[in-house]
Amino acid sequence: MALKFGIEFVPKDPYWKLAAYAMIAENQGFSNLWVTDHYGNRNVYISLAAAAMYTNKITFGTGVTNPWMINPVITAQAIATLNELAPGRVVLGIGAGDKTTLEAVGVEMGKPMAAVSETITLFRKLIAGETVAFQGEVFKTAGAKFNFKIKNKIPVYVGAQGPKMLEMAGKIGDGILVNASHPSDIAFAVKMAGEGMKQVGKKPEDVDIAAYTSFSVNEDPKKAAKAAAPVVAFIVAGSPAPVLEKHNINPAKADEIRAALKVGDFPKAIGAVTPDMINAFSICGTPEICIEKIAALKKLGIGQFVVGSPVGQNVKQSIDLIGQKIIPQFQN
Amino acid sequence: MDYAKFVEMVPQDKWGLLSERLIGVILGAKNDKIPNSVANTILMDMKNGTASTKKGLTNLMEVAVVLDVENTIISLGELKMLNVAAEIIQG
Repeated sequence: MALKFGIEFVPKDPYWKLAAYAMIAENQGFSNLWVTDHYGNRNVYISLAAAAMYTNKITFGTGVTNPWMINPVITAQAIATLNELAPGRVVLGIGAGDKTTLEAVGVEMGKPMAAVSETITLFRKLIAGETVAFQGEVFKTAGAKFNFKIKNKIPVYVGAQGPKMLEMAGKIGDGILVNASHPSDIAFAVKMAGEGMKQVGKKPEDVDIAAYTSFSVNEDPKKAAKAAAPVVAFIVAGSPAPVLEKHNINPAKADEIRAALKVGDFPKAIGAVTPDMINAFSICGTPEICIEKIAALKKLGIGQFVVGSPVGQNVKQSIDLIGQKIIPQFQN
Repeated sequence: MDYAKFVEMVPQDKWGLLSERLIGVILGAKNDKIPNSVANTILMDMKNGTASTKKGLTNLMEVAVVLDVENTIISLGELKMLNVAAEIIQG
């Protein structure tokens, strides 16, 4: 079966750049576009609307939003409105959220599993046109209903990393966005999601498991690694000790990166990134190396490969390179 | 600068290639301050496939020079359009 290719964009640039990249990605054969949701960047829904206006085929969604910053009813409303702009091309990507980011805006993150699950329940009921009286552990509604109809089903992808969230994602998600690049992490995710799917009688083809990777491609592997290093520095800094241990990352080196990032010394943090770190937390290299690594993930059971930040040293050239050399290798 | 004249100096069979490169220069430029109307025109040209017409290229050339003249000239050089690069340098 063909492997789908998705691409992630962080809306840190003006809307027109994201819309242009979306068109280029669509023309190069990408089937999915994911836009990150962070309060410090441009608004995810407005960015997605811009992408929707200038594309024709690509499926797009939040990659990912969270249940806390916006009430789930409004999240459903935003996605439903996007679906009017691009019927049948919209999905919801929802995860538990990032603790540090939420703390920065004074939002408490309690009961992440329940919050994600309840958001999905509310979302599906509202999209189905129901009047929703709901009492959950985290959210409640008393007769919420949309004044407009949504004619098609809108798939829900769950952003998941930990075992419990992966299992739940397998149970309730139409898709799963696994934030990982290494085969061992993807194998674990597929296994845990499978457990959840088994519990509700789903088959593997019922859930689109996507490897949401940090990715960097260049004909020159050194340039690919150079572009990947800043993103990998942040991943290492944010990884708990067991994750670093699993990938044999020296904890002292990780501490060095954390300390440098904390004081804003980016060159020092990036300089401390080792090839082992890049290998553990990204798909990086020449198109040929990337093809080999993607093929290994496909064998593990993923249905979608998401090209995440940084994409490459030059984003447009990298998208073109992926479209010309990598995607055609996975069409059958 | 007469950007339409610069475009006329480029053989028509290379307009597609030049259009791709100029879009790359514009998207890669650190300076992203262009009027919304200009940005929307570029997006519409990309969507409608008119970015490699004379009008579309003239617009792209002007925006590329304004946002990142150095990389515009480098790109023109790589495409062996040295006469156009020279005209831009001379202003």
